[in-house]
Amino acid sequence: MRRRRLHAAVAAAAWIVSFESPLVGQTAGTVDIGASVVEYDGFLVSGAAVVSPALRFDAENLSLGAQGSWTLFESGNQIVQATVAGAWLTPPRGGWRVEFSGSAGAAKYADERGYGHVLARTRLHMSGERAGGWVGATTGGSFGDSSQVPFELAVGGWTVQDRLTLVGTLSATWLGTDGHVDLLGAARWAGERVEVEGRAGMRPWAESGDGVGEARVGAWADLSALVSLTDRIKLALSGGAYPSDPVRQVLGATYVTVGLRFDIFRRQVSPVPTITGAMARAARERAVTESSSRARLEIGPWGDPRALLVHVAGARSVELMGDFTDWQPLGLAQTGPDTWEIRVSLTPGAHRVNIRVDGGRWLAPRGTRLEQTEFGGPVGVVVIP
Amino acid sequence: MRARVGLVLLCMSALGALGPSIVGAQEPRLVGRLPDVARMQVDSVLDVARAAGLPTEPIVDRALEGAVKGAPPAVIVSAVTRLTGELRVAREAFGETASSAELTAGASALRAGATSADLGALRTLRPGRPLTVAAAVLADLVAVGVPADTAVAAVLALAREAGDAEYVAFRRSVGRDIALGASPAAALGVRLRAVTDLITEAPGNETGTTTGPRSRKPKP
Repeated sequence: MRRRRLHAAVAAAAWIVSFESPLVGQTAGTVDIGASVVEYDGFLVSGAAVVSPALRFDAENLSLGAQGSWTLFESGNQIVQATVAGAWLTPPRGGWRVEFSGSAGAAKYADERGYGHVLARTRLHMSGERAGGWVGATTGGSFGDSSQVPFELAVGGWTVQDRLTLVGTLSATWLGTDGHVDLLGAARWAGERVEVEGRAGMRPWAESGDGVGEARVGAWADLSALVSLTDRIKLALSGGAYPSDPVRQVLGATYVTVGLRFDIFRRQVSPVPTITGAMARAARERAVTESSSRARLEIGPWGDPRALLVHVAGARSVELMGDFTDWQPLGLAQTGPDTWEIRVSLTPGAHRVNIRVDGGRWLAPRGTRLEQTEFGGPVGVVVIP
Repeated sequence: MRARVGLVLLCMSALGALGPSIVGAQEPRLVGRLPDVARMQVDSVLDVARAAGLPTEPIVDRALEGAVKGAPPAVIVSAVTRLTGELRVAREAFGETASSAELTAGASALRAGATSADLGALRTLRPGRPLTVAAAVLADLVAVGVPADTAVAAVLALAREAGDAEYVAFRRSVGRDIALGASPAAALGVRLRAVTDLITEAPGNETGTTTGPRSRKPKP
């Protein structure tokens, strides 16, 4: 019990799925249903509804878990995310144990490219009656627009006093040429019907770019609570801020969440339902949703004829047709690794255009307004001022 | 508005049924691209459009689009007939001097959910100024999920002061915010305030006001 509390707190403090380091317990399943208001770094405030099932199996030395979520944003866009994790602990030898664990996660937003991570971790634990600590290292792969190998060193300690668990960790993380140091603290109090957990942290050093989601120096805190309503239903409340996690491609955010947790297997183990940062990554990558093609149309600067650029990765051929071609298909010339070009005369006004890649279907390119037609399939509309 | 378009379509269908022997010449761009029966019917629609002083170029383009996409002749004729009706409504709203580009953009806005009255208000608020971009932005906003009435309110709020470049920038900003996760209405509200503030603060703005954007806050 002591260890479960400890790791529940640690997992929450790490801002990732609760079972990243599941160590004790039994089979447990929950379904969380919640509503959130969240403001991701670099984004406007958005509401969202979240449904998140979780399944977990714990034996004496082995833990396995799986968690998924489906999120519907206020804008109508959706994201699906899933994570699996497992951990194995060696038998204790004089209070020392070695943990080998791993996790893999993936997320997909609409028709955008997915992203994910695979991480392996080892920790050396030293556990006493009411306190303990560990040192550990984590590495693996972070996949998305590009793939990188992260490396993390961490040291942590914990103590348990009756119903209160305190955890502190210090970690240093490198990802490519970037890096950051995090100092985290968490406190968890578990009563008969109420559990409260507070987390606070600071990032005193960070070396990264200026883009959204990059690690930055700062501080944060959040608070969550679970209140038992019935034997199987709990009210979940949480709010605060958490930092970006470049390894798991999680954006920092400020949020408030209200939800219900349904204990399918009469045990609750995962944290208060929140919009996980992984979802934010998909939101960040979100492209114009009215598009139905992977190709993006860019209209060149003024001129006659005017350059139309189509950006599409890995294409062997690109064709274009529109009212300005009398709806005659024209082949584009490749001018770069993922760039194709054609020059046409465009009069001021609205023009309709379709693009075909590798002889496939005629689709509306991104960068245009999609308009459904009577002829089956969408057309892209661009306006020339 | 729908009833009005329907009436126009009914009249044009009746005229079209008279056949090409009574009205007008063949449109050369359609020869060889459309089946003869469909081409004759489209020619009839074009004759009606010419007689009404409507631009025929967008109608021909629509027919060609249908042909190249393999649409059945009946669908093509229906599509060009509908477009002609929308062009007529747009012309009535924008005025006799409206350009082909303005009418096409107006037709697109009507299809997106604007009404004839909305287009008329746009004309009134932008006397003597081009309407193509404003109408196109209206259609764009609806297409990205902004409720039609909210989009209309925003476009009209900018109509008196904003230039085409500001409309384009406004549309681009809203689209980017939506792409980043904002709700369409919220993104529109934020960007509308930004644009109107910019216009209000711009040198040479003697009125110092716009058409009440703050009183037209969109729904969150």
